[in-house]
Amino acid sequence: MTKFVRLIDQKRCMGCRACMSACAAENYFTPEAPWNSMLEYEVGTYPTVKKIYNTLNCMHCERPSCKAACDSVGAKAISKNEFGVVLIDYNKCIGCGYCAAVCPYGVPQLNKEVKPLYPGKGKNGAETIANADRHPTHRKKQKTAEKCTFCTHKLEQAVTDGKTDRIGKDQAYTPSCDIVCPVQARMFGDIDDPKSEVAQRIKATGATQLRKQFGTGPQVYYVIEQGAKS
Amino acid sequence: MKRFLAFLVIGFVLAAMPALSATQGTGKAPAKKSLEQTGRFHQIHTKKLAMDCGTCHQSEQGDILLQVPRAKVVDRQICLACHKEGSKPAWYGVVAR
Repeated sequence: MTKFVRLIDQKRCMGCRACMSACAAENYFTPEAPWNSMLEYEVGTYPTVKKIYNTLNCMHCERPSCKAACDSVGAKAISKNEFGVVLIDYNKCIGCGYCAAVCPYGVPQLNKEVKPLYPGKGKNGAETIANADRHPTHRKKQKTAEKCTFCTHKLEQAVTDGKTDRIGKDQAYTPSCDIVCPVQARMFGDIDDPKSEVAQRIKATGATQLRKQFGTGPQVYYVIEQGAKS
Repeated sequence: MKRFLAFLVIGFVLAAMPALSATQGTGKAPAKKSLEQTGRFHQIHTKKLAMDCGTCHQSEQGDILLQVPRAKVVDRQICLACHKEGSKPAWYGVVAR
């Protein structure tokens, strides 16, 4: 079996937000529905204080609460594919926002209005591409929920090119946020392959998932900085 | 006189029916599936289950992991108390189909 996971090392992250910028460019962010966000908070008491940088994308849970909520309202717009990627079908989404309300991580965002990323400055390069020419996950729609897709368009490309073994290694087949990190605080790969770098690093660092008490089985692992919320 | 009184009673009942049905939530189209206060989500929690706003909206600040850029969030620990596996509707710990 192949199970793609992401590893985020809070001990390495310096909060530069390169991952956010890469995601914004790759996935046509709109201001109301960022797919990647950075939480920043302080822990400890003076003089022993430090800053925690916690970048959050979709956790692509094994038992996704967003899907359970979406199914319960009858929309059935959320699915989990063979790679373990949780995807929203924009054509089925009814814009109820239940997925956003139930996610333990607050990941799905309802795009109430499709606005340019830089209001008042016109469309940026990516925004000039017509919806029909974009990957289905990039066809922005009003009143539709959106979230990180593990850059599923790249994973699909790997399948098309017969290069699934290069996922997590090659730029063309790896989520953009994971390849731009200047301090290698992010990693992507197959956790079911014991030889993969991500599997080995998760094991070596004792990385864990956030908010495990919800039982959703997130596929994003964190090396937790001391004092950070988990 | 009797006929007049009967008309009066029937007229009163007919006039009061829309108001009664509105307060009881019967005979109305189902609330829209949305997170707005008038939507189904809030109606179920506040009307059907008679929960106070404060039951879910406990603090301004909320959980740090749900802070930015999401305002006015509800700590999902509160949701978890009722919506875990085995409950209806269950949202947490449910196997994806």
